[in-house]
Amino acid sequence: MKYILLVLITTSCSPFLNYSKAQTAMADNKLSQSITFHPIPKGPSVFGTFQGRPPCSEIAKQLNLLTDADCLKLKWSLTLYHDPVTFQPTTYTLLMVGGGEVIKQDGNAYRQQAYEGKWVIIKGLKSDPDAEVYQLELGKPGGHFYFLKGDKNVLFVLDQNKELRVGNEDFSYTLNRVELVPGNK
Amino acid sequence: MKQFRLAFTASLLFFVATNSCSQKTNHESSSIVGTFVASTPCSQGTRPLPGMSVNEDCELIKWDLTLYQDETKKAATSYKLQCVYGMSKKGTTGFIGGGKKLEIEGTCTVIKGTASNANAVVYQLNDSKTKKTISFLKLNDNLLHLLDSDLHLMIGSAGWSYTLNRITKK
Repeated sequence: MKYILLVLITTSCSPFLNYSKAQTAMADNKLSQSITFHPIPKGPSVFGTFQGRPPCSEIAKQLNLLTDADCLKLKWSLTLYHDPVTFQPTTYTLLMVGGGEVIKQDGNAYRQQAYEGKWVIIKGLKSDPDAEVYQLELGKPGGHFYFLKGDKNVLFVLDQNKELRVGNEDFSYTLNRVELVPGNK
Repeated sequence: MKQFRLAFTASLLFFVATNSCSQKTNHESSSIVGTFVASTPCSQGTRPLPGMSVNEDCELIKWDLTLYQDETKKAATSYKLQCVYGMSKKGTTGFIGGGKKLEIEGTCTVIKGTASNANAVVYQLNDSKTKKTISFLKLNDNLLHLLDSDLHLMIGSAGWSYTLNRITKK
């Protein structure tokens, strides 16, 4: 009887036991380094820097950003600050390259727009009342940026109705925490 | 008693063999849940696809994942994943030399819970060739995000993320 039970358990579990994980190990799932030629934010008031390349058109429309006709994506660099004692959110800076004012530098020209202001953490999406959302003040009345906190390292850019945005085969509405490293000019 | 054991074992082995064969994907009898695409990073340490060699150069993977559902179960049951990977061609969204193609398919299992959210829905794709799995968090009906081996969200780079976006194929 024991023999029969053993065979039964082994065979019924075999489809699950056969598969192992192909994914990246947790130890290798770490922050990427990102080269910057700007001063690197440092100190206990820095909550983190998140970067990504969301598609161009929807964001440009929301912000009334000037873009070139061939604008496929925007390069975002978002730095969030918090109070080093209370850990409450304080301010942010958001730099967007690809849209905005034309900057001429070293014989090249590109578009760039900078935003800064306060941010707070609010709760709830329509689909998930417990979701943690970062709300950034854009400076104009009623104007906000919303980010869904995936976890401490990954943020998803939401639309004005706090819904997830859908990207395309090349670009997603996702920002990743990065480690900034100085570039050599 | 010995004869009974032999007959029982033989019939069980036959059952397992036929059962595993039935797990082969049959997309004809299924409907499409959705097709999801993305361009994600790839490095020496982050090679999320079964069958990828560690010796090949890779910094970018383009994903095209189709999930199929059994009409009766109304849940994802199988998948087909087509990928191209290699070194990115600067100033483009393509690859140097066109990249290397990889295609896998198999069964899909839906499980509950990630490292940070016990209620999260996770799609686990099983590759019948390598007997390995890869897992995605279902963010909503239109977005999936690749997970690491301990079911944490994969962290992308400044250039690419690990979010797959639903598209409508024409």
